[in-house]
Amino acid sequence: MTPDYYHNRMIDDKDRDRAMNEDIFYFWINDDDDQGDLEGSDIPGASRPDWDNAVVDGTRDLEDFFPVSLNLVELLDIYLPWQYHYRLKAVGENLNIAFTDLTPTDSGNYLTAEGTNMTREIVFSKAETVPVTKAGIDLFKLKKQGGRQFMERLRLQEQPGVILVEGRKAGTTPLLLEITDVNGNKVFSSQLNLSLAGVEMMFRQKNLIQPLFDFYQTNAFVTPDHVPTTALGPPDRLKLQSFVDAGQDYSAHFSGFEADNDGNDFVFVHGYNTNGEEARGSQTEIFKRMYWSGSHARFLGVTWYGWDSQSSFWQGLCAGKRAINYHINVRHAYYTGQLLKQFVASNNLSNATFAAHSLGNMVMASAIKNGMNYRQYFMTNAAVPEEAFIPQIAYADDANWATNTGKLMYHPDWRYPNGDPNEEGYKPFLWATEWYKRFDQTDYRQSMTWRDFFGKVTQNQGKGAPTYNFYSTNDEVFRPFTMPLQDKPVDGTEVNIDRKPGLWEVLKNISCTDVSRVGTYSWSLQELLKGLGGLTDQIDLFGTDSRFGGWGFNDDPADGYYRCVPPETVDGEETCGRMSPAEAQKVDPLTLKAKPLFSKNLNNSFLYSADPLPEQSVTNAEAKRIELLANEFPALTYAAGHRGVSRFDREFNIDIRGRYIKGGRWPRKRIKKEWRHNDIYSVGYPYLYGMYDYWARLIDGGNLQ
Amino acid sequence: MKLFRILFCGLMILFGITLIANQAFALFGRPSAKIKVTVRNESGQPVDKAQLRVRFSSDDWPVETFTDSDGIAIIKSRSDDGVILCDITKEGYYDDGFAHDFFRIKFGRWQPWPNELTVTMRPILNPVPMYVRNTYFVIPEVGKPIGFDLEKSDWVIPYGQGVHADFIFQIERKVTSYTDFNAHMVLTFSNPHDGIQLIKDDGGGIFNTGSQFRLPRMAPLDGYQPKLDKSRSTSSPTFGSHEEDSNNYIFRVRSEVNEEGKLVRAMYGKIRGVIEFEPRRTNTAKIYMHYYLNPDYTRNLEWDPKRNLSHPSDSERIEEP
Repeated sequence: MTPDYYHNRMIDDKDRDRAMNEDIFYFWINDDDDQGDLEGSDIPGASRPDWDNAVVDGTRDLEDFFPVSLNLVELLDIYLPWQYHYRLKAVGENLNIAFTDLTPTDSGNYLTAEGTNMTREIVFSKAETVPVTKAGIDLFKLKKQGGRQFMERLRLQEQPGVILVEGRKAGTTPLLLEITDVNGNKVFSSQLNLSLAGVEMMFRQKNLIQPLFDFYQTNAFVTPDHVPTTALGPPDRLKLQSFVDAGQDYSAHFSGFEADNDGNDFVFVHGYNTNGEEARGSQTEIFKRMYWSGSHARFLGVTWYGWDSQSSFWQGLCAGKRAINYHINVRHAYYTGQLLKQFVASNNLSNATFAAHSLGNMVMASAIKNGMNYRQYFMTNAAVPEEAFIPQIAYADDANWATNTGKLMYHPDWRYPNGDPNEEGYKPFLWATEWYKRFDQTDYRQSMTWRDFFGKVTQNQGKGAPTYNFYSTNDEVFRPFTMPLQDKPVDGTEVNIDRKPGLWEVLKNISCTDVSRVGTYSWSLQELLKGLGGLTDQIDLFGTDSRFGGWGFNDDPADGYYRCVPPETVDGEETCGRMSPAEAQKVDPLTLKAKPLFSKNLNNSFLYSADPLPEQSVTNAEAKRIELLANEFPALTYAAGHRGVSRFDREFNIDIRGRYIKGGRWPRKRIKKEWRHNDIYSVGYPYLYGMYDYWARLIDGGNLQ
Repeated sequence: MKLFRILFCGLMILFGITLIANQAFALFGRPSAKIKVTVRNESGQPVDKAQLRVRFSSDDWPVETFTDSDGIAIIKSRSDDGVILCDITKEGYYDDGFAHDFFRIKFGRWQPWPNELTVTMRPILNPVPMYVRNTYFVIPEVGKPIGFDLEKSDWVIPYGQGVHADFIFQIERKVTSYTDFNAHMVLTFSNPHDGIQLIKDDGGGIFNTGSQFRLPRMAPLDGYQPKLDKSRSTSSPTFGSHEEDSNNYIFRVRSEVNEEGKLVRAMYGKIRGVIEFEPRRTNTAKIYMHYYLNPDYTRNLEWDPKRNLSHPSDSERIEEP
């Protein structure tokens, strides 16, 4: 009996040598709750774990099985299966098996079958499983479950067959194969040494949640809105003695597994709206996928606080759970990046490969900005403005500013003040996004832009630390508003509908169970609502921290942009109003330093002055900058995860859908090869293994075949 | 009068039920969407029995139906997010599809109700074998014109095994660092009448909607330019911008002329997307192309994906006809 020791999706002589050597095979128990191609939970320790039923739970579950080849060809000639008993035994009763028609050379095909119809995976994904008992199961008698056909096929094809095995519970008892005659005399036996444990007992984990709170306590310049008391995530697993689960010591399991490492390190950072428990699911899922793509790098998962304001709430008869306040989580991400940098430096991980998902890329970019060393970095569905990686020169007034920004990211109030696309809007020099240009390099306010904020990532591209950006144009979170103005509702009862075509409708239609809707367009929402109360205010669920700056207007009469012409009312009608775009165009740009056209946050009144404002004169300058960028200064580009970063060369901008799935296989539920934001976790490995294979190859320096 | 009262009461009850139902929809956040899809071929004739698989909600199974004899299918279902995606298939036609976003709900229904959409399916007429590649080629030297043979997918002798200089590239570059460079690419051709022209097609946007077979069936007779210039540099106004999604090209090479210098025949081809070049992280430049070359000397641009004469690796993922 030989497993795929090298987890390269084939069982070959190298594996057979190790089996002959009686090496222990390390694997995880199947205790998450996968369903179908897309559903279920990856968090270990599910109340209804996948091992606890008699089937494979869809393509998502396949990665939780390992193939074992049974070389019975010669034995079947000697010991005819209808005269002898071929029994598999598990003394610990901790295994289930399923029969396949695979052979050792294609033993990984249950995960990656060739062709585009996925016929084989679909068959495997619904296969029946059989518990292996202490007394043993007689393979030839398992007619209904396919055991008899399996044995007959082995006799005919004259090459070893393959069974799939899943772990039911942790343990180190071997899988035994015994052949006995009719009298019960053992004529042959073989064993496969196994060590099974929870999947988290196979990789390291660093939890940066508590260090972030400690950091805030020490620095006292920002505190989280909602300090969680639950779901703080697992304790660190860094030292050998920390590999303990339910009081059981699994240090031998961990060290035994990790003894096979190739000297590389791989660090994964999860994304936004992922609480401590959910982080466990994210990390274990990526670990498993990298495992089956042949990675032998030491894996480390990073848990961080990116779900501030996540809350369950009720609306009508339905309930939901979301982290509504994106902006506060941006700030957590930024500070967590500083902590990550320290952790990496003090744990000899400066040559590691990093991968991050969604807002986890803000953590990574912050770490790099603050000087973290790394070998390479895989951005995935990055929720970071593309412009943060692009030098400011691209946005100079005399450059092709318009082509370097996304038109759908210009707020319609400013672009089309009266809803007419042909109308002259407020010129960009009046916008909050361009305010930084009013100041010279020595002025603190010159940094009030996302542009080039994480330029170090781009600079490092050319210095031997590449960043690969895995993006998807139809990721629902990053989708731009495409609603044409002519579709704007004319219903006069719609609040603010004239001012925000598209936006308000989207917000109004958010229901608490409609996770898809609140996810859809959320990048555009968060940027377009800066200064307008933010998403939180619009749906009136939480307080807000994005009421100023951004796309809000400066309606302070003292500044002269909002004027009331005496008499203030005519027949009860107000005659006050904002300065028209044509008038605003004549405003002296220097005036904007003290009197911007966007709404001023009077809590930060020191910003609005014609006098120079050196960085050193600002209290907690960096913290204030992050707060302002997160809350009040929008990006005019889409997320880096939407179309890639134009400044990266093509090799480093990888369209996930185009490269891996566009014309190929994808769950039937997903029309037009739709990619959703969390698909790196949720779409079954057989549909997306190409991407993880590429990651594994890059980690291995291109040597992995 | 009594009958009137009964009718009135009945109508009021009906109205009340409708109102409650509509409110319930809004309350439950599961509004419905309705679409009326008309499928026609390129001649404007209805396409019947075309299969539609429609996604109404991200977590629900697609709704399946077929067009009737008028090429029409009317479908409604609950839609959480108002995002409607549809795959359309019919034997003898290239796969097609559309995407539509609803934004407004009224009485539990996405507006308009129904939304009418028309799809033009392209029949499979004359797919032929072609040389098709979707990869990059590293130009051997900078500062001098170097021919590239589209049939051999290689630079011409002495730089490679190419025989025909179908495309002639010249690269000039000055790369100080990854973020400080100036580079220029010129594409020229070997023969009079050879050339290239821009064709607009955005590839169907973010969901790749529309027909799987894109660009014209036949290359045009005229409009070929003998030269294509491209610059990439940190001092360029387009620094930091994405290339236009809608840029594609049709080209003519190996043009042969008669004694009067008139075009007798030529090979035609197309390029999906842009010709991109990257001067960084190499001593010369990488030139990225997704090209199709039809060797049969006709203007046909319909490729049979089962017959790629270039035999590239799977990693090039060439799928579009």
